[in-house]
Amino acid sequence: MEILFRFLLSVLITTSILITNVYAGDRWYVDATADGKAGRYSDSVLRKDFYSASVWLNMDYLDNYSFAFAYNNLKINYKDAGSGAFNIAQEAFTGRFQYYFYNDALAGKITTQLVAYRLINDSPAAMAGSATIISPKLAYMHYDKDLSVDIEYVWSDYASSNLGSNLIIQQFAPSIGFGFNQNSDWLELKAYLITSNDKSQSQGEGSLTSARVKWKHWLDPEAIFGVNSFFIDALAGQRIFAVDNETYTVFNLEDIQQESVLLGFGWRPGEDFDISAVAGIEKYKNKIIDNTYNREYFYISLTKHW
Amino acid sequence: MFNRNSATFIITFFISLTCSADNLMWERSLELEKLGFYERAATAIEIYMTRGDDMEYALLRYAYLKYKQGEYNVSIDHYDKAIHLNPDSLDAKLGITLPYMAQGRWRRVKVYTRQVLTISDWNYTAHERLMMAEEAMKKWTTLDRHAAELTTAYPSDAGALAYYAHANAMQGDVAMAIAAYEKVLMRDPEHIEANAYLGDKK
Repeated sequence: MEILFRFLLSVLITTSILITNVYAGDRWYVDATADGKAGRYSDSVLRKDFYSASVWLNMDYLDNYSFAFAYNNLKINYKDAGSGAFNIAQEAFTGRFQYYFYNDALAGKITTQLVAYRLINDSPAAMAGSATIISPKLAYMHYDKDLSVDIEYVWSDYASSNLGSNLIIQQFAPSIGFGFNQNSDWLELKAYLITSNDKSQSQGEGSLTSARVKWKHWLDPEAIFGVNSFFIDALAGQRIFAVDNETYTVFNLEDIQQESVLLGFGWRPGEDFDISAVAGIEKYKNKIIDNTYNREYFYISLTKHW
Repeated sequence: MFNRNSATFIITFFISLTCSADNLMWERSLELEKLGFYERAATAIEIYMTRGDDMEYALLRYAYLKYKQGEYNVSIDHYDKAIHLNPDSLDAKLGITLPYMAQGRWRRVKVYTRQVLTISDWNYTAHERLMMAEEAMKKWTTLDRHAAELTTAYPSDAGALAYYAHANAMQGDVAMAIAAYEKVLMRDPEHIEANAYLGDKK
């Protein structure tokens, strides 16, 4: 797996260098995103706050295929850290490749996607450690962009787990989305089934299920404060070690996530920029010490399109 | 058995018969298209795509008829063959934008319409389809500039003005959008988009 990951990463990086040298033509479309996330833990016995920053680079060759790379740096501060020995710092390197097919019989675009992550952290906890994650996905979007169906699989190998044996987490996540109101609204439902091969390393849970619903609405151009869109995202059920390939986020350093909700706003200051701001609250439970707490956060991102 | 004159007559007869048969197939294809039988219209001219002087026309027509049937990938393949056969064909480069538009592949539409515009600066169809791509990709500033240029070149055209109005509306410039939509109605009183916007804003 390590060899496969290194191969994929080197192919992706080499290709990105080649692409950035020739993107000036009208066939390459490049997006760069910088984002930051900060939050605090309320009622947590152990955790205090966290900070995260990422950069993404996305390159599309027309509507045929796409490469993306992301780097994330995350720091979680603990309450009783003292000299800082128990704080956790993590780096995440992500590569994504997408290839598109157009199927007239299904009247839609088929996306095949492969995402690979490499996480490196200094966590002393058994549930964390460094990880390699591979995630294939198959997605369908109708030509009218009013229906999407996809199925995603995630294979996470926490090979450096302190308990000796590898912790393997598998995630199955099908989703369905609908556009309505002349595609001014988008409603998406996503289900998660996450299984662990070693309960002792996943807080006693062998499998967890959860469901997420997201509603996004695009506003008229004269909307207040120039807001282009807003979205609400809510999660019910439980999940741990979840992977979100839309935001390249791996929840490997968190406890069992329970009900969560977020509210986001989007702006488009000119046709080449996008800004997003999100405020959210997530409920977690540490079953080892029986501590339920919330994580409140604020997220902002800026994207430039070329 | 046959003298020279008889042989010439027989050969001429068969050649004219073949030509008549060819013309008959093209006519039949056009009639079938008018009746909405696109598959049969395409089948009628299929044999001409691989031979003869009419190969290019047959490819273009077959590609269009496949587009009309919703077989966009087949249509794209045949327009590609027509472009390969004649890289200067504006017909083929405009034609291929039809299945790409149907599939929502607006970046491809941009590529081909720009290729047409490098040969023919003010080709209206190319500009119109490029504006459609800019609209679909929500490039409002680009569309605003582009439509403004086109209204200068085609001042009596309601379509370009409507794109200009829409681009301004999407950028939040209501006054400019209203003024432009009013000009659209002067040229086309039944214009649905202009009537809807002005009805909403007044």
